[in-house]
Amino acid sequence: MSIYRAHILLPIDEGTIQSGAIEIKKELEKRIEEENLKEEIKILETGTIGVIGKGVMIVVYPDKVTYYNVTKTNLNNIIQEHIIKGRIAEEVEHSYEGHKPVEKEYKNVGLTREQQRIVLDKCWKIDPESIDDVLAYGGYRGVEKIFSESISPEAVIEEIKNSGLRGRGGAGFPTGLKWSFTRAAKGEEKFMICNADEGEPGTFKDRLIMEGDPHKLIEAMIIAGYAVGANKGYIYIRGEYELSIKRIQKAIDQALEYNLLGKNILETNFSFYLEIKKGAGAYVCGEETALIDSLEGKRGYPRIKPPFPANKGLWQKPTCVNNVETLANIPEIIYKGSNWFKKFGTEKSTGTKVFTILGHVEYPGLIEVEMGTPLREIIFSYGGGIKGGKRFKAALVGGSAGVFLPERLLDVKMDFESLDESKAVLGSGAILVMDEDTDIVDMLFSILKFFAHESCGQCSVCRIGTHQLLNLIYGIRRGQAQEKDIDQMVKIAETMFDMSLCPLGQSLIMPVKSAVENFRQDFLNKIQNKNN
Amino acid sequence: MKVTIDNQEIYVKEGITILDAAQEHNIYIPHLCSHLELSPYGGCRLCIIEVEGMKGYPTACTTKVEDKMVIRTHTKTLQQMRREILQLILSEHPSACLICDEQEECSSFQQTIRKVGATTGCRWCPKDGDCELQKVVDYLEIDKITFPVYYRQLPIENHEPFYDRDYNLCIYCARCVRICEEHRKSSVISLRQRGRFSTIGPAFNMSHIDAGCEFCGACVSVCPTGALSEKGRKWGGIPDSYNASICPLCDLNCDIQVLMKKGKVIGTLPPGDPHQSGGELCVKGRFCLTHIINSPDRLKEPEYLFDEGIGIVSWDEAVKQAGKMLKDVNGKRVAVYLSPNLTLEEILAAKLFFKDIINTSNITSSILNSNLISYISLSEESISLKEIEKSDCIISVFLNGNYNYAPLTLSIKQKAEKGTPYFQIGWIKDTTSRYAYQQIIPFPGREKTFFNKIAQSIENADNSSPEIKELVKKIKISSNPIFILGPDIMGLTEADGILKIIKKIITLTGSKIFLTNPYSNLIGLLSLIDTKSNEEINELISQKKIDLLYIIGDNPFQKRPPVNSIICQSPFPAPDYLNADLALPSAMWGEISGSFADIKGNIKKFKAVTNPPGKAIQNNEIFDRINKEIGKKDIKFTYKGISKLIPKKLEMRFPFVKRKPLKAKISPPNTSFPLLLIQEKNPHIFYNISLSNNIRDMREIVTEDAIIMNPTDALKMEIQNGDSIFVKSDIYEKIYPIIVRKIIPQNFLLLITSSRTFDFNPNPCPVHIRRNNV
Ligand SMILES: Cc1cc2nc3c(=O)[nH]c(=O)nc-3n(C[C@H](O)[C@H](O)[C@H](O)COP(=O)(O)O)c2cc1C
Ligand code: SF4
Ligand code: SF4
Ligand code: SF4
Ligand code: SF4
Ligand code: FES
Repeated sequence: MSIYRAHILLPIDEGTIQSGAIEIKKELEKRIEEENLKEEIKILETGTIGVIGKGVMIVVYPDKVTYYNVTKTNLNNIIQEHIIKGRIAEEVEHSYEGHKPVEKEYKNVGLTREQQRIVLDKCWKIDPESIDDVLAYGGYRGVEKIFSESISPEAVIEEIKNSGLRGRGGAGFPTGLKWSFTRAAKGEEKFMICNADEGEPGTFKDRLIMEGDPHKLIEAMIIAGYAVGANKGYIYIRGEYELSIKRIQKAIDQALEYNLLGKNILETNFSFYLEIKKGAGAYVCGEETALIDSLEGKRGYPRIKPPFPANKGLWQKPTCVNNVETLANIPEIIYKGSNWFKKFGTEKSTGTKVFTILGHVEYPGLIEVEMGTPLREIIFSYGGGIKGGKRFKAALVGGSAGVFLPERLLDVKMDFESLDESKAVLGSGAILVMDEDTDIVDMLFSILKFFAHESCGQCSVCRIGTHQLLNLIYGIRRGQAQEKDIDQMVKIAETMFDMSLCPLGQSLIMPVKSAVENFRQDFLNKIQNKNN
Repeated sequence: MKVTIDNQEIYVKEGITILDAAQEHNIYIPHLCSHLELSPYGGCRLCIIEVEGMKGYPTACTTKVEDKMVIRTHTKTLQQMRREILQLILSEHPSACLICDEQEECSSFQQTIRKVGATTGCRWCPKDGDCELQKVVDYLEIDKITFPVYYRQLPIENHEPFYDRDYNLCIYCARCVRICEEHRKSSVISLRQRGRFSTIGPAFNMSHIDAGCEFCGACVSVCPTGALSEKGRKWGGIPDSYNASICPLCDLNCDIQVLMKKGKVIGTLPPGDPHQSGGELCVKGRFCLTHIINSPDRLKEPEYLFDEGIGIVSWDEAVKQAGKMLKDVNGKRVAVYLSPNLTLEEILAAKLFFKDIINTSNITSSILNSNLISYISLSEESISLKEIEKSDCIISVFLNGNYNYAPLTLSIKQKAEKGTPYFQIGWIKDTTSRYAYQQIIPFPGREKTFFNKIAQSIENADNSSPEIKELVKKIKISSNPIFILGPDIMGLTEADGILKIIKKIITLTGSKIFLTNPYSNLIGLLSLIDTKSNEEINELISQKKIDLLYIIGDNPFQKRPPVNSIICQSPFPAPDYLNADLALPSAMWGEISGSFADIKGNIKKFKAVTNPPGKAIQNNEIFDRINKEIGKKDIKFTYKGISKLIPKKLEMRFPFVKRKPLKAKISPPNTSFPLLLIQEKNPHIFYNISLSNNIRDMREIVTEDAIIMNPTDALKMEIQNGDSIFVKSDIYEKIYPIIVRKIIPQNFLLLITSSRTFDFNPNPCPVHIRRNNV
């Protein structure tokens, strides 16, 4: 085995591919060859590093410097300066890890600031398409532990319960408890489903987990299947996520080859089969019962609960549905123990959370931090602050069915309880940051348009309610409204909250009410502008 | 178990929903989407309630009762929330009929100063007064809508037969979708798209006809609004009575209820709650009956053929003329044709009249040919419809279940859905095909050989085709296989031979048989009178041995036969070419009481609900009057007198038939005549008319004298719907219009004929086609 002086990591995900990462890789290989550095420098393809919108990126190890917007031209600069001369290529946009955040000195810290990574621990360090790489970095240790120490399914569930892990798909339901329901449900055949539909606009954490460390999900599914008593698992992936699908499929094939999947896993008497199902792209199909309908080949409509999937899910058999991120926590919890996991986060919201930061920040992208990290720190430290030095106006936290938080709530801690106290939700973990020039009415308008489009149409309140909200905000934007229309909107959203069949219709209250309560002036401006 | 609803303790069965429990105890909870026969849906959200210990507001129609539940259904909050929802619903629903200021005047004077089109739903909504949405609005006392109202501007769909669709009135309760799928097992319509663009209709924007709609009207019945409305009853208003009866349009004689208003039949429905029952009727019982009984083409007055031409005469005059023709006639030179739609009472009266008074035994019916007799003879082995439930393997043979035999096709579909293997042997795709384990198309032009192969395969393992092997295997492992035969067999040239083989197959395998036939009282006819075959009577006529023809409700001839005089007695006029000397208007179903016999000889009775139109009178009364005129014997023909004479047990007797050897040579398609033309006599016949001919909408779904062609074939030959084509066999050719439809497979053509005899011989017949003018 040869020893390299440096590694150049080239993150390959859908974003970077689009920006030309493959060509850059070829160019890089050519240049390294030309410079006769093949013996010294190793080029490695990795999954995402969690930064988006920054073109092709490369990371130089061991210096941990990340370069953004790499082109063929500035690549030469990087090679000349950094690789050959060993100093940072200052002309190329970059950041480096290892800084402790210093107030006011946010610049160049960005997303690569030291993070607490559990879910994303291997992303960016491994070649996601190589199971050997994964094994070398400690993949499948959880599974190995269970089978080598003959840990019973009940004990696995107990461990997860004790870890305090809660669902990352939106509702925050305790994962161990959910598993115990499915385990306890009567039935010979049970199913384990991974919800990788990720329909929330502006959320892409699940995609990056799957692209960066697909084996982690496979491992988690095996453990979950073992714990709940399922021999068959499905990963329901949004159809547009081609790279995720490809990498997960490859991971499944490799795991089968290594007998980590299939009949009698690792020569035990537990068998587990995994299959990918492609989602058709409707937002509501991310709702677990609609997802199950869709898996059954029907049109995805939310089902009436009860019965819950734990008792009557896929094909009316006991089923457990978990989000990608939830599952990605499992292997480490099993390997390192729930007490280790509990050290992170807060008392009631343990562990870490992956956030996607978007909007008017310097470094939009993906981070993983401990639960309870203040919103201010996430935006100003990890996100690098507001773009162009403008003023912060609002953050939409929790996805499109999230809450508009004003400046006064910037110090809210990002965990289930603290957010709940501020009448907000963690949701999908999306944080959309808006600067002072943003109009909240326009933001709400696009949310309402999205919901009017995505309401499945099954129940009357949501179908018509979303349409009416759209009508009202149309009027407000055109200045053809009265002040009472603003309150009318809240009233409709309240009606929808009380009476919708599924959480899609129920959740609109969040953005509508918070927008109106915190940014009423924006609405009034619109109305008055046109009136005089 | 015990539950408390609104402080009232009630005892209810386990497993029912709160809504059902409340309804059982007359506690009204507003609801729009729930439906007795359908799975809970929870879409309209009106039935929200409060349950102690449950979060939020569950819906009563989806929540099951639990012991000691404490339920509140009418708190202030609930009512207020219901008003909110209803207002939301109304904001996209034309609401003039509900909250318009001029509502009162409008309903009393049926006019309003506002010019609102009928389709915007003011007092002129077809459901006005009978609408479930209206009822809920009244109950919740809504008189204004606080939300912006809008009209969805969906196009009104009125171009397909029997019912119109105006989805601007739709509240998306999905009852139509669910009844079609869950109850009728047709799955024609579904919810399409999402959110505010939700629509209802067949997938891929297909027409209902192409999507396999049976026009059973179940969706129309259960629609709580005016979105779906029956074309024929649209403006009929609310019926003033509902009368039990049976359908006379095929031998299943389904139970129906007849909707009457001011003495007029305005509609027919399956039994049960008019808004809840999906029923088991086919398009004929559901929609056609009303059209027929109210048909403007009814014969309303007696007509006599004077030297100068046809003239309307009084009954006295008509009876006198009939007397003249019948008084001294030689009974041996009289031939009588009876419709298989006559009631037992009418048939028995006819028997007494013709056998005892006119002294003739030349009694037949146009349908009584040798093939029919071979077919119906199998009925000795026939089981009743209910017994299909017990079958564990179903084989249909040349059954065309489109727009037909709904209770039968339904039970096939239900059984197949539950896993009973269902084989469909024949060419036509019908409503059952989707459920077929296998549809087997017999070797074209070698149908008899095909059935022979099956018989051989049963007797000893052989080298027959894999599908026959599979069929035989499945029959052999079943303990109760059933063959369901369709009347289309009778039209095949080799019918007799094929039926013999089928009989053999049935004996070999111990199978049961179920015979369908489109004639409501054929069994009664064969049981009460000793008939002669149609062929025998025809021979007498052509040998000039008949002077007088007496035709009752039948239509046996394509042109006037060589006889001296013809008397036609029917609810409908005789065809012009017949030049009937005397036409006597008679009453039909609905206007008479009577009874029909089913295949097992059981008798089903029904009552008159209205009076015949014009001067039409009952057949029995006509016999009575003519008998008095010729005054031979003192016999009472009236319904009362006759009904006592009907035997309790009926047993069929078949006319003797001399079978001639087959003349036509059967051959498979070949390079010169590559397509196989199948001719099918239109089974939708009632008395002497065809429903397709008489009812425009029926003509759209069952078109007579047009060639039906598979879309793929049509595409290949560049033929389009409506084109006219030449069809040519080795001895005959004719021009027909084309209909492109999926009900027939590639390389076959289907021709539904209005005549009793087929133009192309043999049937099926290899042909080739080309476009007219090419
Ligand atoms: C409209 C709607 C969309 C949803 N979309 C997603 C999604 O894209 N991904 C996801 O994991 N969960 C989604 N959920 C949440 C799921 O219903 C479910 O709670 C989750 O998959 C459970 O996993 P967890 O317990 O691991 O969080 C959605 C819920 C609703 C109501
Ligand atoms: S709340 Fe909306 S998305 Fe959910 S079932 Fe009702 S219509 Fe469908
Ligand atoms: S008429 Fe019958 S078959 Fe046609 S859509 Fe309605 S329910 Fe379905
Ligand atoms: S057409 Fe009628 S039955 Fe069908 S969803 Fe609309 S309102 Fe309901
Ligand atoms: S199946 Fe026969 S009896 Fe029943 S409604 Fe149709 S025609 Fe009438
Ligand atoms: S009747 Fe219960 S939701 Fe419609």
